[in-house]
Amino acid sequence: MESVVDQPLPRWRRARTFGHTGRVIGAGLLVGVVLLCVFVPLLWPYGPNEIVAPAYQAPSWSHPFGTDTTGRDVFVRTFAGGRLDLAVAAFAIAVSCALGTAIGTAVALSRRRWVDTLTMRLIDGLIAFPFVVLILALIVVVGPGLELGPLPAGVPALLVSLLLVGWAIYARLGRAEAQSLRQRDYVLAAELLGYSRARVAVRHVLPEVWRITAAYAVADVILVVVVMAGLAFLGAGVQPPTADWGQMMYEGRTVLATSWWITVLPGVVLVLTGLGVTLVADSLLGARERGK
Amino acid sequence: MSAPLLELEHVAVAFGAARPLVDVNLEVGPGELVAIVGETGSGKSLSCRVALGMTERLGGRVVSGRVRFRGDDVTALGERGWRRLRGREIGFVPQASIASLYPLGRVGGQLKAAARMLDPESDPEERALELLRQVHLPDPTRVMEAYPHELSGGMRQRVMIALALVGRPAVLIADEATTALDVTVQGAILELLRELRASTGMSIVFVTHDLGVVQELCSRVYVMYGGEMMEVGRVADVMSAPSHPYTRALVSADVRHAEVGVPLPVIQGMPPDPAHRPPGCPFAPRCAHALTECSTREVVLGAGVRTVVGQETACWRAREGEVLL
Repeated sequence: MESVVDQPLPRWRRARTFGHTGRVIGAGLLVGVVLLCVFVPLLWPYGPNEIVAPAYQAPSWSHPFGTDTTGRDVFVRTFAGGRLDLAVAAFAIAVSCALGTAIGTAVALSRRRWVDTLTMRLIDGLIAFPFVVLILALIVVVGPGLELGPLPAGVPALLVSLLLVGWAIYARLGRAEAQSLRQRDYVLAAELLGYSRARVAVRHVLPEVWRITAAYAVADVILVVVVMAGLAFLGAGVQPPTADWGQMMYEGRTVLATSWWITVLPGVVLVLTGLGVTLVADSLLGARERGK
Repeated sequence: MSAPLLELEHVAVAFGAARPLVDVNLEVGPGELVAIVGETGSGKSLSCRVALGMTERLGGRVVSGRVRFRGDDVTALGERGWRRLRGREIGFVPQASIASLYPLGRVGGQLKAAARMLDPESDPEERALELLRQVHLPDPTRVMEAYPHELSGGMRQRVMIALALVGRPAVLIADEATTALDVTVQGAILELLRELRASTGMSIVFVTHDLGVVQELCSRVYVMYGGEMMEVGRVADVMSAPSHPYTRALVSADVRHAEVGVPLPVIQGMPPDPAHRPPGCPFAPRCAHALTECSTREVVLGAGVRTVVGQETACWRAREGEVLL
């Protein structure tokens, strides 16, 4: 008789093995892109806004990604833009996630029902609007040309609108999770021991809620990066001459047939980042679903 | 009996249209070991939660009656007031110890956190170790480092008891604290509770559906059915001469009274639906001895119905002194 050991692994087992590989590949891609974004702008001989060579030069040893419409080095611009885009997205998501998680948990545990109802209707309203349209409207209100301290034009408006909209989805996720946790025996037991509700919320409920919202946030980073790139085409993203993936692709679109590198190479880096983020996020969310 | 510590007086609780508790009476004297028995859904656990001021937290409302602690009416006490009682005056040991310990924290951390709050005078580390020794956990230092899932069911239950003891409560409510444990471990936990009562002088309310445990541990027993108290008395009286038909059925359905070859008697029918309660005695539809009066006139405990032996009974027939069975 065939022993159990010889039989092929059941399906779920294979899926898990792949999940692990996916996590490694994803993490590798992500770490690679982030390292390049950090070090290329620091170490590369040219600055991102420096005109260093004739325009429309094809990729070569001195300019691996070629030069753009005004003769700037596409390689350094790609990673300087990536640094800005990823930093803005990561910051916006981190703050939205922290804020949304706290609001969702507080609302779920609140004893006043109207607090819950009011907040949830507000969140429903925010989520019902198409994300990009809402962001676009807010950017126009704040002013896309606004500069603020070290933040280049376009970034302050982008941050403000991302934060105003972004917390809603985390609050909804967090609330759902906190509501189910609220009826857990250990939460009731903690309250029966005389702990205050605030303490129970922070020590017993929040750590679990946080695990869910944080995993979702990782997946959300790429969504924000793509939205930022899309906004450049609508004139509402990061404003030129600051390097940004969307802005670069937008500038190169008219010469796509002849100087493809201006548009395609930043796009490839964007896709690789997206792949990395998605693989990591999938394995994080998958680990949760398997009850890890 | 000296003045009772904890009292529920004719407490009724509503959850929307449902009335899971209709008339609950409970009196716990200092140092007393009281049992509440009844089948699933009879309102035992809910009565405990009411005694801990958790009704509103669970979505319900006390519609009538009173909860008293040390003679003070605490029925309408706010969340802050209850927080001073919970843990410090009334301790609680839940049923499912695996679900009731915070899964992501070490046992020691949880005990120390409780000690810092409930017993701020003490050194948390020492207090935690002392409590673990008090509940006879072997190798307390190792238990302190363990996560809840690394302990056995019996050990976890001891940890839960230790947690309930941190604030040195005057009353300990144990809600089915031994139900999930196997018989030998159950015996050890009962022994521990008995010993703790002797050494600390605290009262214990023991909720169970196991009549054997009641006989072993408690001095008085409350029999609950459909959100009402059916019978109260000394354990020996209630077990040997049950005066309410429900208690009688419960006692005769107990395995220890079984004879080989004779099927155990089963109580026919279902407990009442708390949303659609029949008028009169809740047990009347299932009662073999019901009179027409039983399904029309409400009968509650404390209406002066006493049997010859001394227990109080919420049954019209017991009042008549009829000998049933």
